Amino acid sequence: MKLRAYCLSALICLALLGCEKGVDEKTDRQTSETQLASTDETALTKGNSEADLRNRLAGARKKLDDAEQRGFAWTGTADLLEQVTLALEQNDLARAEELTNALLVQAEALVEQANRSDAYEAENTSS
Amino acid sequence: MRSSALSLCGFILSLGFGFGLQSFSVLAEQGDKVSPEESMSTASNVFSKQVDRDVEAFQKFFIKRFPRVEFSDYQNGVYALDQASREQWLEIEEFPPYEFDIDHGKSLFDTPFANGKTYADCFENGGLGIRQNYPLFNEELGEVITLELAINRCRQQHGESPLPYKKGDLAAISAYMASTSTGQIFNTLVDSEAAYKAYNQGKKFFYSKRGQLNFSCSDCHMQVSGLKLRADVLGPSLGQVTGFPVFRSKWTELGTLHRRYAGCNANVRAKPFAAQSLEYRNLEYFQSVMSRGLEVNGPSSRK
Repeated sequence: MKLRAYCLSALICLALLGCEKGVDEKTDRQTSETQLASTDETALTKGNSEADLRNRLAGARKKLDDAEQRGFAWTGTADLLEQVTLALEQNDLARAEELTNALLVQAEALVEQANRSDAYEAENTSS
Repeated sequence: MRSSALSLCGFILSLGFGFGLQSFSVLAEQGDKVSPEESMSTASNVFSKQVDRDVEAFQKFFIKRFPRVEFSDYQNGVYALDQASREQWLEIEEFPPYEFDIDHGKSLFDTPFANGKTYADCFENGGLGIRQNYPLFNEELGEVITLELAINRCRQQHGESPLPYKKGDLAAISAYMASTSTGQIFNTLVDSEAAYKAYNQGKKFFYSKRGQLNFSCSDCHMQVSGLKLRADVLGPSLGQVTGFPVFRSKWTELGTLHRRYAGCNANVRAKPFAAQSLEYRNLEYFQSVMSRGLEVNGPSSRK
C-alpha cells in the first residue's frame, strides 16, 4: 500500500516537473522571440536615425559652405565638424546628434549674418 | 466746318511733331558734343560726391561723440580717448620699440635684388614719402593695392619670392616707408565705378556682423568706442589705419594692419580672412577713405 502511494507521488512529481519545464521552454522561446523582434526594431530605428542624422549633417555642411563663400565663417565650426565625424565613426549617435544640432544652429546663424550683410548692401549701395 | 477743324488739328500736330523732332536733334547734337572723357569725369564725380558725404557723416559721428578730442588726435587711436593709456603710451614712445625695425627695414629697402634693382625702382619718388597714397585703386588690375601688396609685387617683378604679410621683413620695409612719410595727409580717392564698388565692399564688411559673438567692426569701433571691453578702452575707427604697421606690446613685435584685422575677427569668433585677401584690402581702402585729412604717423606702438 505504502509502495503504491510512493509510486503515485513520484509519478505526480515527474508530471509536475515535466509541465514546469514545458512552461519554461515556452516562456524562454517567447522571450527570445520578443527580444529578437525588439533587436530588429532597434537596429531599424538606429539605421533610420543615423541616415536622418547624416542627411541633417549634409544640410548643415551645405549651409556652412554657402555662408563661407559669402564671407561668413566661425572659428569653432571646423572643430565641431571634426568632432561630429569622430562621433559617427565611434557609432556614438547621441553625441553625433548633439553636435549636428549645434552645427545646424551655427549654420543658420551664419546664413543669417550673410543675409543681413546683403540686405545692408542693398540698402546702402543702391545709388 | 468739320474739314477745317481737321486741317487745323493736322497743322498743330505736324507743328508739334516737327518741334519734337527738332528738340530731339538738338539733344542728340548736345549728346554728341560730350566727350567720353567728360562723361567719365561726370560719372566719377557722382561716386566722389557720394563718398564725400559718407566721409563727412563718418567723421561727424566721432566729432559729436567725443567733442573734446582734436580731429588730428584721432591718428593716435585709443590714446586720443583714454588719458591713463595715453600717458603710458607717451612713455613707451620716448624709446620707441619699433626703431630697430625701421633700421632693419631701411637696410632691406636699400639692398639690391639679385638683378641689381631695388624697391626704389618700383615706386614713385623712389618709394619715399608715399605711404599716404596707399591703399589705392588700380584701374588696370581692377583691385585695391595696399603698400604691403605693392612691396611684394615689386619683389616678384624682380624675380624675388614674396614675403609673409603679417610680420617680419615685410612689416619692417613697410615701417621704414611709413617713417619717411610722417606728416603726409591721407586723401584716399574713390573716383571710378570700379573703385566705388571696392569701397562699398569694404563698407559692407565694416558694418556686417560677424562671428559667434555677432559683432561688426562698427559695433566696437563706432557704437561703443570710448567704452571699456573688460580693462581696455575701445578705440575709434577714425584714424585706425594711420599708424600701421605697429609694434604691439601683446605681440612683442611689429605687425601689419591685416594681422590686426585677423586678430579682431578671431576675437569675435569669426574665421579670419588671409592677410591681403580682397576682403581685407577693401576694408583697408574703406577705412583709409574715412580717415581722410589725418596724417601718416606710422610706425607706432600700441598695447
